[in-house]
Amino acid sequence: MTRISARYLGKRIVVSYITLLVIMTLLFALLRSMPGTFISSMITPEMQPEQIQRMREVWGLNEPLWKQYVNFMVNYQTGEFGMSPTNRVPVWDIMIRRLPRTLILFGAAFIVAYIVGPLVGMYLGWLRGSRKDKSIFASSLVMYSMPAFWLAWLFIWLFNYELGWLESTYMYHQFPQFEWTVVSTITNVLHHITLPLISLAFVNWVGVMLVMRPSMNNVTEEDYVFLAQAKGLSERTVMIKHAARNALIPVATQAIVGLAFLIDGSIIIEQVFSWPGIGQLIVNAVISKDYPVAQASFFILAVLVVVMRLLTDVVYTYLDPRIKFGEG
Amino acid sequence: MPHRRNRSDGANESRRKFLKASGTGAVALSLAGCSGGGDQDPTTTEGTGEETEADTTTEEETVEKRTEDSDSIPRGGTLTYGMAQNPDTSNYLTSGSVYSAVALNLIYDFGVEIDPVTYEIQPWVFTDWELQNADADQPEIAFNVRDDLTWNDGEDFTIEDVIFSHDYIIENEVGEWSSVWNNIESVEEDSGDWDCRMTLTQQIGTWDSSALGACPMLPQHIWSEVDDFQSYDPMAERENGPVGTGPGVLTTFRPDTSMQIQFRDAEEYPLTDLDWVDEHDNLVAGGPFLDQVNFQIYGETAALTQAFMRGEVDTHYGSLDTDKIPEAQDTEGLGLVNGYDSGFSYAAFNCRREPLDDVALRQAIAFAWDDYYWTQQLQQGYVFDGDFAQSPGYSGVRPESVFDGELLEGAAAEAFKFRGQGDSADPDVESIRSFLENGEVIDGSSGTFAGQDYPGSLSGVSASQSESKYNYTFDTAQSSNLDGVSDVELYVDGEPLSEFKGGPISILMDPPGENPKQGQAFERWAENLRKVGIPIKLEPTGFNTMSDMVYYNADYDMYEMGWGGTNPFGTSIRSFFHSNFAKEAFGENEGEQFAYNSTGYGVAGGSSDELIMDAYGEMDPETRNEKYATAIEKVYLDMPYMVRDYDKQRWPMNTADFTGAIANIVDPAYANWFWEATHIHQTE
Repeated sequence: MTRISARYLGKRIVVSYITLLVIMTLLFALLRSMPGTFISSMITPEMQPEQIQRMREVWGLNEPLWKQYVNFMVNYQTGEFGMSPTNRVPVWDIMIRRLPRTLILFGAAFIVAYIVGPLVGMYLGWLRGSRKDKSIFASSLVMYSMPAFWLAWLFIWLFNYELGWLESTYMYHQFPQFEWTVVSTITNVLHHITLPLISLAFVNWVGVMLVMRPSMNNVTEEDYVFLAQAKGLSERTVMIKHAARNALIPVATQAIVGLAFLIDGSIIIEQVFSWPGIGQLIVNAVISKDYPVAQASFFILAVLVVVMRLLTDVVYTYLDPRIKFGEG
Repeated sequence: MPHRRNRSDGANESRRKFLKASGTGAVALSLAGCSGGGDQDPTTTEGTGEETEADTTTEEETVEKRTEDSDSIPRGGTLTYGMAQNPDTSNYLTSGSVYSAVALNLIYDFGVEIDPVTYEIQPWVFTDWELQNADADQPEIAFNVRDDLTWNDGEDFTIEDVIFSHDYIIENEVGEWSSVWNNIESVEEDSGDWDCRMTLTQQIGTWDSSALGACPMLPQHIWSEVDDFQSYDPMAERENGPVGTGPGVLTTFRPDTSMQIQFRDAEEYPLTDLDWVDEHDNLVAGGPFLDQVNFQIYGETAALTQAFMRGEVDTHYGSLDTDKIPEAQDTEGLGLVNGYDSGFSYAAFNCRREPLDDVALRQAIAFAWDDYYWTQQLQQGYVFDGDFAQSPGYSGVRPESVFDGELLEGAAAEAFKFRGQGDSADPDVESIRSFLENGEVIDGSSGTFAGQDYPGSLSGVSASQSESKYNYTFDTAQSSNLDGVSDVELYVDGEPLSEFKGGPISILMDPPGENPKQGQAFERWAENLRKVGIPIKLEPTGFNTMSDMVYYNADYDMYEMGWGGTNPFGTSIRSFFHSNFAKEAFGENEGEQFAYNSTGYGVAGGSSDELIMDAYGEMDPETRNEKYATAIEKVYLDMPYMVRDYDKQRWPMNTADFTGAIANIVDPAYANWFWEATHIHQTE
């Protein structure tokens, strides 16, 4: 039996689509409300008015506003983000180049955070109230309070500047060109990704632990846990197989939204580590007033968040058999 | 170089928005040469006993004489050059980023070159030339073209390429190269003794740099196939991208992370072997000596600085962060190449805004700026005190240089120095108030103003006003902005300033968190003005917001900016201060077009339009310099800008592995980077 009705799913999809349309409209309005236009940076003092008008025409700015809006909405829904006035290449080409790098970094950070966080949370939740729980919990909160960028600088200072163990910039060595074998590429990327990855994961795993710990504590009071203990199963088996599996449900749902926000937090970490992803791109685009690129970057992040939200609803029903959406 | 442009770099938009150019005698300025390894002694600042880190001497000192023989210079090696921003495109015609230009400028050549030391125009692709019909509405220049150049794809360079290059840019009205089609009507093959003949669109005083040196040489066999130059991507078309006659070949262009320029063999590039280079006291012929330059892009300046300090890059764009200079000086193997900034930092007044349309009030506000606190205490002597809106690096058009004064010296250039009480940091409130109450203006004639003697203008020019526009008095303070600081407030025509027109004057400034020292300086300025009785509000504002408010909407009272660029021949004052570049001149494009003249000077609050255009059309170089210097001095007296300082550049260099950089020239990391790149070589 399906746990989510087609009607409910359809409704959620429509709501998500409308949300995206609103976001697109806001993006369009914000761009147009800024002084000047995105071609302003291309206008030089010697240009004559007719040349500026020609430039406006080329970039579609002479169309009536409503038509610009319609074009924008249609184009964005078909993945046509226009040209970057800075780089003079399609915005989509830039996105395709940048997005995977962001996903690699934050995918890795996500995996680390969602392995370490639940494990520690499980352990602390099982031992809740003990001295071990209190001391680890308190120190974790201290970590959680640290700004990621500050921690990042600390790691750079220690592991790169002082010890020289790890790289603090880029995704791989730029020069000299190294031999592109699978092993050398992986090694090279690992050498570069480790610091930004631990900077991100170090803070984020605590957030996951904070969800897992009370969840774990709750299930330890459940009958099936007492039953498992009464059956004489080892504490480790009860903790992992019977308690933790059930305690993971809120963590799993939180993880989907967490991933979206993890990507959202890319701006600072990518800047600090010169990681050439979407976050760095947004900063550069805003600074250089490359509005088409900035707009497309924000849009892609918005799509990710909206889609993750939608997936949360769907996946949740499969993770927790008690949940049924869209039925009487 | 006149043609190698400085354009917006986004992160520091103002810094790279303006063309640079020339002015003779930059070498007359001082500063020690290449320093490193902690061999500099800190100087003691007179009167305070405080030590500053900078080598602050202003004694005249020339660029060091080069004695190397190019044959003895080792060839080879890779220099790694760091940057804090991404390049935009490898298409030279559309690129507007300095971070692309550092690579692309090594690929393309121009008709003439500017001597990086003397700023004389020298042969380059064109061997010789002659101005003809100088008095005509459209003067002509006849010139000859070198016949021994090749493109970096192996094809021969021809006269047809020269004509094609100009035609292509003129016909397409390529926006980034507007100086070509604004200044040049046509270039044709000459029917007489010369190879080519160029017709100008109008009389242009700087015709040699602005016309002969305006156009990059483009290969006809490549660009004749390009229908849409806007979307042309050289790297997509061929492996080594852009084709030029220059020494560099762009072998890698990854705009997100890196670029690489490999240099051609010396025998393939004869231009750095020209006689004038060979005979030059301060240059070495035969470069480039390196094999290649790798450009690495970092996300932010702090990361870039760290990369230099830990040896990841050998040098980087711009001056080393001031706070890191002592550490670099104390680190074995790291050094600093001294140089001049091509521009200045300033605070600007909106001359349209009453009562800031009055020269007298602008001058009085300047009296309260504590320049000693800024230059010596906060900037530790790494800047020169500001005066004229022209870099001392391009001293050939600075009033004190042109009119027999000493560079950066003399009371005529110190008319608006801080009016302190004796040697203290407290402003001389009474003298500033008296200046305003008496309706005084430092108008160019000699006298004592706000307690300080002024010898009269160097050029004999007068300010736009000889007395104040408004009746200033001081009466009971109405503004809460003055609470606890002053009991009286400035009244303008009987109305308190806080209630006059737009109310208290506000200053847009960088958020103090981004620039704490500047925040301190502006806080002190505001406090000093309040002590006088002038209510002032400081408004921390992000750069992009400020840029919109200032350059597009002119919706501000005052703003500060870290950099305004000048050029060697003084022509930059046209963009900054001529009314044609104010937003009011743009008609229906007002609010959309970037207004280089942000203050509206020329439209309101005085004007130097006539002097500027007189200089612009002057064909005789010496007279032209005098006219520009005169215009610059008038702008100084009228004060749409209060120039705060000129940076003493400290260009970082891995001196353990590299040597040969030319010290004491302007902007070695960018404006003269071509020359540095063709001189730097491996340490033996």
